[in-house]
Amino acid sequence: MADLSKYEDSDLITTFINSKKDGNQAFAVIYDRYSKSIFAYILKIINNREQAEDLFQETFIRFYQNVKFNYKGGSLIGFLITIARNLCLNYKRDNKPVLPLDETGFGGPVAESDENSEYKDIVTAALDLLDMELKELLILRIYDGMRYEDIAEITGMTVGNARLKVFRAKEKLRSILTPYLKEYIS
Amino acid sequence: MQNSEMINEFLDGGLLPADEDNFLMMLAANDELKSEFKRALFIDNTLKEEAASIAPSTKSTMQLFSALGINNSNFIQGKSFYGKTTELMVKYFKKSIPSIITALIVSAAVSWYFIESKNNTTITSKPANELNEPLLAANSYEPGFPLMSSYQFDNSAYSPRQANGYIPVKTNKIQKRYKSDDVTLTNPLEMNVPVAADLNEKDVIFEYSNVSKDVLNSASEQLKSAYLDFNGSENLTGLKNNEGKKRFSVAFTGNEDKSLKNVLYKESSHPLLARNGLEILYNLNEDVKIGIDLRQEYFFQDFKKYDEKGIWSQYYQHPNLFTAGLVAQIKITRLFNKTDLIGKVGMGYNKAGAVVRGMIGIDYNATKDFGFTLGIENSNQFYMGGSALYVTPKIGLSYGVKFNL
Repeated sequence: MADLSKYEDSDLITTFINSKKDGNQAFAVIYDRYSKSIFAYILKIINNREQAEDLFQETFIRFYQNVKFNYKGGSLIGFLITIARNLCLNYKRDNKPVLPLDETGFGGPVAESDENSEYKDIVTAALDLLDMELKELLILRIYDGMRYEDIAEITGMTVGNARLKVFRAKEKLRSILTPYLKEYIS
Repeated sequence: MQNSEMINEFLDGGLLPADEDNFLMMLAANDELKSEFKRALFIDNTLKEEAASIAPSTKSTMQLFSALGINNSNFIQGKSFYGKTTELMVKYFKKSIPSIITALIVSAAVSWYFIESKNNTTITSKPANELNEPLLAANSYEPGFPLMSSYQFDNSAYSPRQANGYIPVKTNKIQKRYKSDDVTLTNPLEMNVPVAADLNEKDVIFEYSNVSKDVLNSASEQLKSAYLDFNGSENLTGLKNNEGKKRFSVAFTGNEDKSLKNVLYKESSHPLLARNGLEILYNLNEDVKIGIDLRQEYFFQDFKKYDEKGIWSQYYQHPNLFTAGLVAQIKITRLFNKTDLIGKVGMGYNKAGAVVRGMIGIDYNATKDFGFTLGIENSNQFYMGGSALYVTPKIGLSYGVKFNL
């Protein structure tokens, strides 16, 4: 069995589509390479681990079944994220949003008593206070480590606009968190 | 460009080198900008840390591959589990190359000196009637081979002179390994006396001649008890003599571990011997040893304190430290031949603070001169950050090659 782990994305896709012998192995390598990013994206958008696991599986099933018909070249992670994004949008459309924080703002339970962990929880929770568009852009940039070119391709923006909006999302997040972090980091 | 824009660009890697220098100079001069930058960095790092910690469950992965009809034993486990385990082992192996090389060189040199050179020794054996002293009947440095001495016969009231000539004691196996031309080997009684058969050692057949049956039986009993008394010792000269017992063992050790507190932060670079150590133990008795433990090792540290400008700051570091300590080793039980289950506890001190550790593992004695240890070790570093006490635990493998002196 050939070692496909060092293949470029384009070679993996070609092998997956065309090779009966190594196709499944190519899929396994793609899964190994991008499963964490896809799952992180879905989990942060949905905020529900159980549902995120289901959508995550569905994403790769659709990829497996449809890639030979729908993939037109371009970024592989972008293609996967697009599938996941559509599934998430459908899910959010069909389900009422769940408010992650209580009325007092950052009053949710804190898992660890450690002060540092407490502030980290505040930071990750604050992500949900951003507009959906800004939140998604930040997730794509920071959680998935995507290039602005790929973000632009997925969201249909220009590269410059994607970059600007990611910066705006960061600034918004900082402005939300500054009152809380000022005591901690002055 | 506003402060926030410059911070964004800097964290995003979008500043030109010249602009980066300007930004760093501004950062050094402007406390407000510095605070804002620290908060931005904290947010960025927190999100990245969370991103790194998110992964789909194994169950989810298995269900997916099952739904797609892909044999997961070939791909999921092969790629994700075994693949990563192999990758991890290769990574650790690469890291431990310096200690392995050190251990191999030292053990090879000592093996050559203590074992090979002595294996060439011809057995000293002379006709007993020319002597009025204990006769060395056989000696062996073969691992696990029972050692013996003619002194046993002296203690059993069987002296060389009473035997009318010489002590015709030999072992078949020894004869094959060592030349002993000046001993006449006969066995008129056709009596074989097996000894050590119940000691997990190789059976050795002793043949006697010119010896009465009573004396022979007595001698064989003495041989058994002699061997039990002198198990592991060298240069035996008497039944109750402990001379030659190994009192010290020196071990060249290594450790491979992971911090239990934070596995994401990069270790400081250290060129050589970053995970090596030296352990010198004194044998209080067969079961208990005490000694010193010197080693280089990593401990992750995170703590908060005021920086040089009086700003309350969070610190992360994964330094390489030299720790000196005391260690006690106890034999828990014998697992099988030459291999003991052991436990170790230790306390030490390094530049950061106190270290407390415990280890459970095996102690394999390849020969009486050297052996190996391998175990799972937990270490805890206690240290101060500002006025607060912190502790950071780690767990991993501890291994070593030891030499008994």
